[in-house]
Amino acid sequence: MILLPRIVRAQRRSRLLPFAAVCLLLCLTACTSTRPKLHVQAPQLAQAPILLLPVDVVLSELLATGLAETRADWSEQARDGLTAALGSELGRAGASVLALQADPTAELAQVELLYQAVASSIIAAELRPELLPTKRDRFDWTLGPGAAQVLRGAAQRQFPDSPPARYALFCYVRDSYASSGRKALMVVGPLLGLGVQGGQQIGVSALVDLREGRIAWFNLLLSSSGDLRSPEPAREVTRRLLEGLPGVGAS
Amino acid sequence: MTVASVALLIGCASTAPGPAAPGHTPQDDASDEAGLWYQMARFESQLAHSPARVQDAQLEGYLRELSCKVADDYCGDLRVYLLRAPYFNASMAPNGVMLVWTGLLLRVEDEAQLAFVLGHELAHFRHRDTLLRWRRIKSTESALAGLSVVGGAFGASIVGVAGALTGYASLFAYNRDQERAADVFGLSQMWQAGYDPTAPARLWQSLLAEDAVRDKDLLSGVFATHPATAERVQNLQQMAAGIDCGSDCQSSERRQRERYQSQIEGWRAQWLADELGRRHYRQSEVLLTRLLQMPEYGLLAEYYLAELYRLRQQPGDLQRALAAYDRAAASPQQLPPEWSRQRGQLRRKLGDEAGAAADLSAYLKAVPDAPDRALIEQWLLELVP
Repeated sequence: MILLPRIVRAQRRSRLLPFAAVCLLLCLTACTSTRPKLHVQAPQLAQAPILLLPVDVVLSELLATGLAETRADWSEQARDGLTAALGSELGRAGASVLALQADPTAELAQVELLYQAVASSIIAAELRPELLPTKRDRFDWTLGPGAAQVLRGAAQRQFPDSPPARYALFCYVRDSYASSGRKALMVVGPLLGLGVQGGQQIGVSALVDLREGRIAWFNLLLSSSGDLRSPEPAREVTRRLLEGLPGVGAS
Repeated sequence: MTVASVALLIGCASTAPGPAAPGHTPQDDASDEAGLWYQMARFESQLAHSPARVQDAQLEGYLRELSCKVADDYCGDLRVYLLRAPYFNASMAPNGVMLVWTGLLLRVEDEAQLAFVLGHELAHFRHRDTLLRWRRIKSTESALAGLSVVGGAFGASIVGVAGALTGYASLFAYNRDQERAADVFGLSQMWQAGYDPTAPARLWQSLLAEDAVRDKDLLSGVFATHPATAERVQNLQQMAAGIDCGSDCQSSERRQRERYQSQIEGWRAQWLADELGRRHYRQSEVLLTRLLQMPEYGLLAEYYLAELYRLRQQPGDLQRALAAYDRAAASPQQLPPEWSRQRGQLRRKLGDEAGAAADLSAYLKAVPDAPDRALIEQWLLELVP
């Protein structure tokens, strides 16, 4: 008996990984690219609080064999570090941040899945515009007013004394780091005729307007550098994740 | 030469973890085991709200209670979830999340059989089989396979990034030794909890027939990773024979058939409909033929057999379907309310206009707010001018 594959597969379909894997093909060793997208109207960060959803982070160690082994310690550290850095970066831009704790309601879980599906479509449209011709020249994605309502409700439950949240920020990061065996293979590999890649970083962040659920800003980060395991580079990654957001990001 | 030097480079010994004690959690945050638990915790929080989960507090509560009874000291380590999926399957994640699929509950006949399955899954937790498998994958034998992928043009990126998930998925296929050890442990646990030790062999014996008609071209073989084999049945029989439990071994007290069947009472129709949704009609036919013999299913199995023939439409199937509907109709209160529409439609197709009209009218009477009312009324107009 045993086997999760079917479920895991089903979930993977709705997630960002397949697209992320494609993205990586575009990004060769030691490069960083961000692709910020803005809705017609630039978000006004100083206006009202931003609800920060629990950041979705998995960091893994890339073994010599090419397998990625999840590292709980790195992931937890990066999750906490990113949450703090996002708060301070946005704070510098005049926004106040409400960091949502994991909220065990089925509705919110569905909104997060909906967001993942929309984000995957945005990335698909970005990387292969021929797939979605109607989205070629416009960025008018939305989670819909119902999702916005659920997010507003979650904000209100956890922060009853705060002014209502105006935006919600979603943040997704997958990163892998070469193990020492992998690093050795990266050096020796070419001599044996093998192309061996090091760790890769994928970040997806989006700001959702909580009035109607529109995606006000979206960013895809692909990089093979930037270490989330230590504080200073982590702040650098955060700035890259927020690039293109008026008032924040890499200067 | 090349291969040898690569193997040297990445060679790492795999260490076998000992059994997990009750209340076990990974001690080292940087370990591979902690990584597996981290991923599973994310999975579990999604699972809790997944539409695939059967949100029935009573049935899940029953499964949790039974798993505790079998798990004994490990009770606090297990969290059982029921998933709506029409396959014979259950799985154990390294952090104590146990998934039981509805297709398994449909095939189990009594509590003793279910207790064995739960004990078997508990063994995978106790023996830390996922971790063991992950370490095997990491070790040199599999490393060579990994490298052949890495050598491919874009292999590295795909394996590196998606590997966390796809590699993870493959972790759940354990090897035969792990399965056999889990069988031994599961049988011993259920026996100590007071259940009939011949139940496991009976369960797998009844599954053999289904596996025998597996269509190898269909992906939806019902035992995805676990073929029911004669060898397994034999092993289980031998294990049971080694247990001396006197004359009351197979007593109804030790089987608890009624208690189990009363728990799934309200679910049978849905699970049978899901079973037909697999469209593996040869297997479903074998299963339904077995269920026909069980008093708890009886005419319900007959009705779904009729549905199977109606859907399959091989030569002679429509006549078979009609005959089965007729037999099921002997006790309509056991059937889902739409049964009369199903037979009515078939009669209409076969040209029995009066019979069709009677069935379709009966359907509208039984389900006054039927969503397809307008269509049925139109048919009735055509049938009864």
